[in-house]
Amino acid sequence: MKKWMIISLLLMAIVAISSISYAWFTYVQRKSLVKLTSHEIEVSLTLGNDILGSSLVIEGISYIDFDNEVMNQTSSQGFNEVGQNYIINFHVSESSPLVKVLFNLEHNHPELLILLIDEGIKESENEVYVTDYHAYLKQIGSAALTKEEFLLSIDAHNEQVVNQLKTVILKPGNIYQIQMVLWADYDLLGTEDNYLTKTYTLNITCLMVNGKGDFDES
Amino acid sequence: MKKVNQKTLLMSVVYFLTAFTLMFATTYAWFIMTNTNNTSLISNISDVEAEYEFYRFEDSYHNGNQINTLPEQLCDAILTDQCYELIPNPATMFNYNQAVAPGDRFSFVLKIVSIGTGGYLNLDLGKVQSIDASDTRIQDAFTYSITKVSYIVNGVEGTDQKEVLPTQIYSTHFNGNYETIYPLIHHLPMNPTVENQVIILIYFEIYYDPTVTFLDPYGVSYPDYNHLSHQAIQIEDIYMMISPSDQ
Repeated sequence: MKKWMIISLLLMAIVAISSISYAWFTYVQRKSLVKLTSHEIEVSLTLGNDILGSSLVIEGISYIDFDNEVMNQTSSQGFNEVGQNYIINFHVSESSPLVKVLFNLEHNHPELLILLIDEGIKESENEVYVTDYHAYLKQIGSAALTKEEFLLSIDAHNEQVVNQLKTVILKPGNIYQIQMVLWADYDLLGTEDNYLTKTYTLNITCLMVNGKGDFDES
Repeated sequence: MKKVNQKTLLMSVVYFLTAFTLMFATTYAWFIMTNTNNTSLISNISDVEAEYEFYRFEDSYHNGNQINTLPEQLCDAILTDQCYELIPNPATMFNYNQAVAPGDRFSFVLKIVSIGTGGYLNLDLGKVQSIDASDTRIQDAFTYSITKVSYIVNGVEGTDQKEVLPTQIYSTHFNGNYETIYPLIHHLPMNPTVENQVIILIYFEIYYDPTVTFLDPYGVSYPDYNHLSHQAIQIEDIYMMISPSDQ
């Protein structure tokens, strides 16, 4: 019994000394680093609370006299109220990576007057949007001398809004908003068209790339 | 005589229990300290002592840190983006809660306070794996690299020393199996001056390389990186080894 205990004691002492020596000499610390997960891009396009598809049909649009109500008028005089306005939301999902969005509207209605307003990233539920469209338009066309120049200024402004959007890197959870206001110019309405029954269709294109990517617009 | 034998037996039992406790505690400590077999025996560890802190760069745009000045870029109650956040418990893996995409870059800093007067540091990454992978592995698209190494002496951060010998830095794509060890930086002097205490800052980054070509099982290259969607790259271990020589 006594012999067995001495042998055990010696063996355990040797194991203990060699283990602690090895642990001492190999001073290694092992720490964890990181886990990174990929996910597909997810952006939902909504008009107000409704999902926006590839086209938008507009009825009940108001007709205006562009010369008299915009160019020659210094204040709204009801022009703001008759504009048909929409808030377009580009909502990036919480699980999406960083994303850039290319948005485009196309139509073949020369009388349709579209104003795009860049409302930026929504910060709160009580966002304040532009409502004085008349003043906004007057500022855009302040250098225009003719109606054609004014309309070209509006087109250039809308293009600038679209170009601005495609440069913005949207983070997960961001909601980017563009306000779209619509009127129709009665003077540019075709003679065969009936303004009381006419509906307008806007074709919508929305492309997305990740935040580090570039759009192939060729 | 009988009384002496009883006393001797009692002492033997006490010694036995003491030895057993010592062996158990040592064995347990041994596993806790290393938990790895990828180490080489270092013959002399005297005068080498260090403490460390681990930081990740908070960057909501995933561009990585281009400035690399830890002392001036620490996060606080106001500054929560484009700053370094201390990882209080590096033993737990940091699970980045935002999805990543090709082109993304993530920066980290290891801050080591060298208490001793000498020694050299090796850092390695290990146990890298792709979670939820099938034919392709997201880890093949990731690279790592050292972006800066500097010393803080008397409270002032010095210039980049990553190219100064005998330090060797490494940069490569992850690949291979789970057991592959990826060297990050080797032979970094813990205290190149004769100061009593030097702080070492090792800046490194992980980059999701968008130029890697992946082939499907039929040898055709994938047109994009969508096949890597929902996969996760997991870097489980960073090994820090300090030795008294640069070998």
